[in-house]
Amino acid sequence: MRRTVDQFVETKSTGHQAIVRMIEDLFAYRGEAPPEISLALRLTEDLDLDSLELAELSAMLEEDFGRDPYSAGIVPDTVGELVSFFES
Amino acid sequence: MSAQHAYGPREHYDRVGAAWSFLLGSELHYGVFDTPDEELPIASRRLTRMMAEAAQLEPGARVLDVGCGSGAPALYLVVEHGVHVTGITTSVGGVATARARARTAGLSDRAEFLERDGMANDFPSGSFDRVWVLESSHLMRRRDRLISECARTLKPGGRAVLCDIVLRRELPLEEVRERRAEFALLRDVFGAARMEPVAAYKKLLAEQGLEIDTEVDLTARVRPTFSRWRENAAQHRDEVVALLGGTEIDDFVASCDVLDGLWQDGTLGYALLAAWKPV
Repeated sequence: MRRTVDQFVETKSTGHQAIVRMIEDLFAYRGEAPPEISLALRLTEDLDLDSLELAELSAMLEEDFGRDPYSAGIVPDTVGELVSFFES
Repeated sequence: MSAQHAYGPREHYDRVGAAWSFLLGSELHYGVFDTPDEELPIASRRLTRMMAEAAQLEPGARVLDVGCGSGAPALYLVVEHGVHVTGITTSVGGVATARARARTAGLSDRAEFLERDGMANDFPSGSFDRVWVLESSHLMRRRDRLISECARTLKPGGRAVLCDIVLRRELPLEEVRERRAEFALLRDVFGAARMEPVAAYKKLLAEQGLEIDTEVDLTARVRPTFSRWRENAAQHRDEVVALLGGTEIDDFVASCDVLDGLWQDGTLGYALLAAWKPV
């Protein structure tokens, strides 16, 4: 049976949803409509996050989750790698 | 995050355009100073003149001004060098101001201004004798697309000139994170900027087959610009507050201090490059 879009959204973990929201916020500040944030998207090449946006993302993650990969010396390439860091 | 407004170049210039002519002067760009106490309009005009010299302009040449602001340098080129300028910007307000200026000066037949993106300008290949990018490249996120569009729209034998703020050292992510309040303030005041090292520009120009023959480091000579901007803020406080509000002028002054600090610690500088497109 095919799932509806809403059901797909509900299957995202809380962490995943929070990360998607943070990335969407970064796009909102740019004045750009965000693309659909899939796990395969690369943070710098596809989403074009610059160093200040990555630094802001790192700070938001730490604030929300109490830890973040960048401070741990890990630089995730994709949204999926970022989500995995918090699910591991 | 401290951003109070969307900071894409289009939104940014439409919002701040009028107030900035008080703060940055009518040319809306840095100055090149012979002495630290020189006036900003003289120093700003010197930068425009240096670019014009590097461009080796000839009367009748067709010039594409990428990121033309409100058109002051473009009209200077028309008057002083007898060229025809097509200025492009993503700012609707910038286009309107530049067109009005051209009309007032009676130059509308030799200076046209269009709302277009420097990273995808839609002009036919080989349309221009010169491509001019004065301090706008740092606002175009895809620098590779900007440079490839410049190279594509140049005629063979044409010349590209560019000047801008450049990154003079690698900034580790930890340092960006630590200093993110400073960088976010700059973004809020000046729009979303991405500085690149001179070497990155040179690589992109070379990849597009352009031959660089001019490279000038203007880092020290532009630095008094920040003092002049602070003085302008003090002198025109009432006008700017009326246009933007009190917080924004205080942020502007604080951002001048941040820039001065980034110049002082060797993070940022200023460079001018020129290159030929081989025949």
